[in-house]
Amino acid sequence: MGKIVWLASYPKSGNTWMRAFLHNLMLAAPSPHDINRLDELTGGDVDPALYAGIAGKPADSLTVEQAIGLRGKVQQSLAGAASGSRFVKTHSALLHIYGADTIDMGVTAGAIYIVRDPRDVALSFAHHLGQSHERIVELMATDNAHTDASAAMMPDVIGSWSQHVESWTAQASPGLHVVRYEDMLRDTIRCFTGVTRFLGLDVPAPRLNAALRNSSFKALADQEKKRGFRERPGHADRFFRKGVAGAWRRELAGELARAIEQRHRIQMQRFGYLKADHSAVA
Amino acid sequence: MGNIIWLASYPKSGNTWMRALLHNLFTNAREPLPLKEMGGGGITTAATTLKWFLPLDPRPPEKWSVADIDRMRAPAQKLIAEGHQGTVFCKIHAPVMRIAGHPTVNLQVSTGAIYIVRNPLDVAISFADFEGITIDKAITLMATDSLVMPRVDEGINEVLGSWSQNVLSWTARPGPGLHIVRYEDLIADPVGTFRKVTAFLRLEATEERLERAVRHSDFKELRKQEETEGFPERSAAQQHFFREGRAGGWRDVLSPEQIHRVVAVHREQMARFGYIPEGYDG
Repeated sequence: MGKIVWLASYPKSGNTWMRAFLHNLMLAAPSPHDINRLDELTGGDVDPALYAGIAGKPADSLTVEQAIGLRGKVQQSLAGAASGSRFVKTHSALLHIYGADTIDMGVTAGAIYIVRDPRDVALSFAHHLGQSHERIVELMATDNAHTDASAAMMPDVIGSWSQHVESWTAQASPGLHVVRYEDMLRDTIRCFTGVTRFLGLDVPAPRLNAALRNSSFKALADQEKKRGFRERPGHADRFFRKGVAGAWRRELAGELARAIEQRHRIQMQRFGYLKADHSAVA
Repeated sequence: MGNIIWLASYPKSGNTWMRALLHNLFTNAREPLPLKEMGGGGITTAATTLKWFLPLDPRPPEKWSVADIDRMRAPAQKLIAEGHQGTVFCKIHAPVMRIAGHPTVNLQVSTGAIYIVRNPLDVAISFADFEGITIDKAITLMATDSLVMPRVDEGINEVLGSWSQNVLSWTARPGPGLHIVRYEDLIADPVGTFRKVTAFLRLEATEERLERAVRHSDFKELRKQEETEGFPERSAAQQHFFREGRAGGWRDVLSPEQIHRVVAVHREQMARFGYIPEGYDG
């Protein structure tokens, strides 16, 4: 029986980037690993097949409450299928809700949590869902918010942005490693070296550099540009959009940025996205 | 109003068989038409054949992005129409929809469509084999809305949508320009089912000619030709492109969970074509 190392984040915060990095690192491929094969080393926790199999009935007949109730068993089966540790991507907040835990600590070995400036998340999430900035800012402010079920994905409690961040990061633990998307961008080598050390890996510099090169935003966006990415939504022209920090300053309406700052002030301050005097950090 | 008659279907639903039938009907030769001659002859082409895209962008195809290709599909179909005198049959796997705002099917150059539908429970098995993926993964892809497959090498990538989206987009509105064929009917009564296709096309084919076309496109014949000559449309993952050519294989292959999952996602469109298995009608 193995255990799960979670790759956890609110949506649009760098999870796919982290998955790509881990594939390129572990597989040590000379050229960038196929972005359409990011499920080789990292599974997901919302595959309807797993839920239907455990429930013994069609996945779409399950309510959100029932789906959450099954998460523990689903995670036990994900862990049970592995010999050692395995990575599982999740956008779920870490909650006790509807009488169940969203994350089963009994099969959890640890977690890499990625946090990103919510003002940038809002832009990216709006593009991804094809919805207005206003609607997304509202969604990010809604406690216990859950994603809609789709044919390919079970519903998932993402919570509000603050709830998500707090739920995963409030308690420091040796099994938890938190990274900021902005550090992945600006302080890449140090940030990803931190990830490899957390995983107990001693990675020689050339191998780390190759993995970073093969999973750079440019490498990912190039692959999508050339071959396409199955996770792109139909209304959008691409999944890998910009890969920058701070675009909100130009693209997000001032009143929406203020709304996010007010609603998420405490968690934003914890991660340096706001100064204590509430002003934005450059 | 144009001159393209679409041979439309989700992948692995009998499209190649239909092309073989039409080619053998038109050539009406003593011997079965060699598979490799199906590409030429000006009778049928495919919406993703590279040569229709080449005049649209002077750069080599490997320089094109998937966003470029999204823009080129409808103009390429205009070139198909202009490149043929009179009616041309064009194979297509895309649903009638928009991807990133661009149409997948150019209705201005269409004159009609033959849509082939096959039980998705059987499609899943065949699709998994073709793509070299597990059946569970195939079921997930078939449930993914607006799915665009990645490019293979410098080819044109296929827009597939979900299975239900594909079926619905072509068959929602019956009309004089649309003829729907069930793969299962083609298996059970090939001559009778193909006769209806020829009637739709206003071809007056004698019984003898019809029967010969059916005989020359028989599964065993196609398989035999593939074994001796090969077939360029076989995927790298496959042993044979012409795999089993039967209906109902899912009964021996799919688990109850897998059946549940397919039915849960595609119930509405499956019901329209009589594909809901016994015991799953609830």
